[in-house]
Amino acid sequence: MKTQTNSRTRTVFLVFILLVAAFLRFWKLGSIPNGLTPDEAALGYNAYSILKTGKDEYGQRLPLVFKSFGDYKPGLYIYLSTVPVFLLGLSDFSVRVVSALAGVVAVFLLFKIVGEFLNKKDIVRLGSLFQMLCAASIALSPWHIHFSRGAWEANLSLTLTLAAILFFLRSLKTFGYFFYFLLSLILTILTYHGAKLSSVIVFVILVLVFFNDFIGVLRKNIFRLLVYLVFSFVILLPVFLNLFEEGWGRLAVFSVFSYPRPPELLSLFLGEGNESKMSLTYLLFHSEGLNFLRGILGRWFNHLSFQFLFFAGDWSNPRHVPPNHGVLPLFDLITLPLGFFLAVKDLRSKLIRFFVTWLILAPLPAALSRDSVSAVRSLNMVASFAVIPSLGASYFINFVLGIKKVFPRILVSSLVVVLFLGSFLYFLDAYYIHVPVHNAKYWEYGLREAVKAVLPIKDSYRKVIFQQSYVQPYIYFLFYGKYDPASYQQKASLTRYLGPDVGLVDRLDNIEFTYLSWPIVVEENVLVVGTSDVIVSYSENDYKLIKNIIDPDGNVSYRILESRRR
Amino acid sequence: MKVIRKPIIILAVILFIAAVLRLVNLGSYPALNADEASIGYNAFSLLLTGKDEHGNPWPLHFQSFNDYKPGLYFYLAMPFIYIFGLNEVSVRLPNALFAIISVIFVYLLSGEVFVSHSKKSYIQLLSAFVLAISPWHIHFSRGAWEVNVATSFILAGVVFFLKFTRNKSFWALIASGVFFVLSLYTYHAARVVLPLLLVGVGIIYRRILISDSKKLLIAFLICSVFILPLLNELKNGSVFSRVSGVGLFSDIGPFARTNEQRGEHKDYQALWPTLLHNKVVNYGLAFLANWGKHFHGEFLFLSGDIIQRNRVPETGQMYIFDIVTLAIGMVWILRRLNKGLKLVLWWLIVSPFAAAFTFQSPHALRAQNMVIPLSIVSGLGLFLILENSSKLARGRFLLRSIFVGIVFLVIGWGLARYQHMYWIHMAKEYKYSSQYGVKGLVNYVRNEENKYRGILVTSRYDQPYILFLFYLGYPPDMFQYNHTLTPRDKYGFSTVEKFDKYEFRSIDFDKERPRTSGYLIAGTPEEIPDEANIVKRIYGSNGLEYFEVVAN
Repeated sequence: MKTQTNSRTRTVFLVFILLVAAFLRFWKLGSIPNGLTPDEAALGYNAYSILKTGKDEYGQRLPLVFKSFGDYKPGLYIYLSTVPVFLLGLSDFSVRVVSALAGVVAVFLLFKIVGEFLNKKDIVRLGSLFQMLCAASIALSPWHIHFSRGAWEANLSLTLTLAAILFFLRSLKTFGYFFYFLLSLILTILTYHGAKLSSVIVFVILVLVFFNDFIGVLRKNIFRLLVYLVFSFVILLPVFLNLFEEGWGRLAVFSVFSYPRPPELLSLFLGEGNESKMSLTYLLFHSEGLNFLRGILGRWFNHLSFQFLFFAGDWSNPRHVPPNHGVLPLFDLITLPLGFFLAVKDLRSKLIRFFVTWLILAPLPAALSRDSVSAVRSLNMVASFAVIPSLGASYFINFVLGIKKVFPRILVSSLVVVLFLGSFLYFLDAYYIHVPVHNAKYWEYGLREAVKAVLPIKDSYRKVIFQQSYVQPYIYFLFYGKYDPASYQQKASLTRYLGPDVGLVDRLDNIEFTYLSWPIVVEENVLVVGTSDVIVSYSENDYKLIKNIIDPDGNVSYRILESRRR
Repeated sequence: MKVIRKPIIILAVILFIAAVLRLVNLGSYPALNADEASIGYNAFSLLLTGKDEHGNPWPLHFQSFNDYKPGLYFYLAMPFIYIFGLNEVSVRLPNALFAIISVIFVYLLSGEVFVSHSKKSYIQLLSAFVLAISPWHIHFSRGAWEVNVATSFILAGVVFFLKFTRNKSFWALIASGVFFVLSLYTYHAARVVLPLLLVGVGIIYRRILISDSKKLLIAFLICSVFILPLLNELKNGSVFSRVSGVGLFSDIGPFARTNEQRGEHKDYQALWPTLLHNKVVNYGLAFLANWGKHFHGEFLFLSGDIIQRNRVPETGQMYIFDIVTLAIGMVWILRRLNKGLKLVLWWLIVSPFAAAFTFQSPHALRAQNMVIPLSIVSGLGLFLILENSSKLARGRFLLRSIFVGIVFLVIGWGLARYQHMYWIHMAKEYKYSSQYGVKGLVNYVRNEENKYRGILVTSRYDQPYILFLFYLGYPPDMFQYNHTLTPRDKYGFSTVEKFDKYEFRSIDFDKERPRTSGYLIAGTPEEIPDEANIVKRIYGSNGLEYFEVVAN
């Protein structure tokens, strides 16, 4: 059954959905999530530094890749952020604007992409109702809203990927768009580390799904294609050179292949059968390759599990989801299976082929990395998770509207509306009520407040001793102190320690960042700042309490103490 | 692909494979556990005295450790114990036989579901093959697992029901009903899953059922008569003790979360927080989450159940290759939903319901009936792979043989790895998953007991008294009225701490020593200090040490 609406209704609806999407993404953007992650602070400060001096925090002029904590952040998010930072000043809000805006644009792009498929008469059964539902789904998607609210490079990368897909579809008619397609894909790589793999995945799927059309277009435009490819190569070269120089450390830390089984455990296990690494049964049944395969499959399954999608969300990093909520709305428990059910009935449709294949392959970058599950590295799944349930939902709506008898129709439709609203309200509550309270600790609320409390008083002390950690307290001082970039560039120094892939800053003027082994002995007129699980208690004779930083959930996260005269 | 002339011969081969995988070393591996010993000894007690170990005459639920086990399996074991005596094989053989017969019934079920498929005998054989080598099915075939018998009854019931829908035979309908009723007497989980399954059956086959309502009514009345004793028994609350001990509500997590969530609102008593955060929502979500965990790939294909007794190291409930066959089979099924396929799908959906109502999820044991619909789907997927590869080969024999060879090589590898893990690693990796070592201990103690005033045995390992009764073949009439059951522990279990010369408790050696002079003390290596007068060390069949016996 077709539900055709005229183009004006569609436009009105699209504008409405975009407004809703914008509201859900921009409302209280600076205070929900409550806090600021080190990465957000670093992106913001580097944008500020570029804006003021044209150089990054280490004095590098207009880099493509920013050294930051030693994690070498691709630079596009920073360059785009210079605009809001210029207009609004450096703040929690302004760092997040680019991502929130990208989130709204993504809604528009998905609408257009589905429109392209519909124009090709790809799925004749479905009309613009389906197209509008797709836009609405991503606009209301908990996963997408969450990653639009926060300076997540992955989210900007997803939007660019959607743009690339749209340009690709257009290029099949007008080859000129192929340039923009390549450009968008390149920009994803300049935005997000994970995009190196995930954009290749998208490229491959597009080529495979549209193989015949694609080859046909290429034949006619082989020369232009070569020019484009050379162009892409030139842009990407520095990125890959950088990867070879500095990026391996990071890759090695995050890759699943860096974590083979501990030899002691393995030899214990092999000992049960008097096996060794030389035995045939080891090669057949216990090899490291098989172990990695099981690990990767397990991670891949995690991203497709009910637990991740609906009930627990990203269990390896609670910062990535609202508490007690999955990455999808509960309502999708109905529409997602229904969508799959319809999808398999129409496997000739390129839309279905594309989005289902993308769904299956999008968790690959996450599956190849260390954590058992990651909502951020698998964020590209979000697009398919908007389209497939919409397939189910549009069928469902048509079914309900098709019920002839009035009473059952009203009964069923009100049931559906209640379920949908219930699911949506449950998410709104989880996100806008519980995230600021329950998740503040995961968003470094305490660190931000501690830094804000120390900034105005730090100069009246001889020294400030601030608890060091990989949440990088120095960047919060730069960010909230709006430290003059030109003068910071002179003294920026990152110390690399054994261990993680990132380094640490040990000193900023009179602030010393050190690991506290409490209690510490200090002379007078020193400010000591540390978390409450390090500074569990202190003697009133030695210290005077300046301030306890209390998280919204009521726990003391940081203590600020002043040393007393002895 | 040609039509198979004699599928029966291939089925016989599959049955042979199924039998080998289920019967080899059935009595000795894995070691007998307390529940199996309880089944054996109670059946033994019934045979000799007409009463169970605690003196209850001909019960439908066996009191056992105060967990009131559903009783049918005990009665099934009686003839075997009568013929072969009280030993491990007699207790386990009924289940193993049911498991092998299940392979035939899956063959029949597949035949009913794919009744109009031109190559249905291939699908039938492949479904049967998949079940025959299924790790999930084999694991619960090797041991006195009531659940597998219940699953077999449900399976047989479904097969006869589908026969009825085709040939309208009244007797098929009666047989179907009787098998369904039998499953209810066998295992708790069936009492949740079966009614749900029947709701689906009723909806899917409503036309046929309505048109044959007279037969249905008579069959229903006959079955009701068989159910009456069970309903009568269920009035007795003690039957539910175990059920409520593991039920969803005995996990206070979701309830505690309710309070936490309300506390994060400004006004925790307002309408909004109470509407969104309450027991119904949180336990409802917990139930759905539990249900969903049974479809997690990690559980199905990679690691299986968490509980050691229910698992094999590094092995899923199914093989890794089942990912592919299940996906292909499922897509095919969804594209062509006829009545039979709908039934398979519905069964798959409701099969983990009983397990989801308990807080341990995923649970391979309670959700074991998933294996039947999964085998049908996987068998179909395997068929589709073989069919398409033979199409790809376009009649070239060599090419086709290579394809088929590769497929069966992959399957063979999966089976070999599973068997390797099962026989070589399982008992050593999970040394406390079953009561290893107890048999050896009893055999030793039996010859020594006359020399000592009493025998003290550690209770570190689950329910030692029942294994002693079992291996000693202790006269039931002497036991029935000469023991006491302890009060229930927090999991709802009781135990016996003393009978005859035997005492069971955890051993604090320094305290026991002065108290129990003239005793033989059997403790774990951790309980017994090295300087004690150790007269014997007892090793399990897996070669690991379990007991050190001290002459005090």
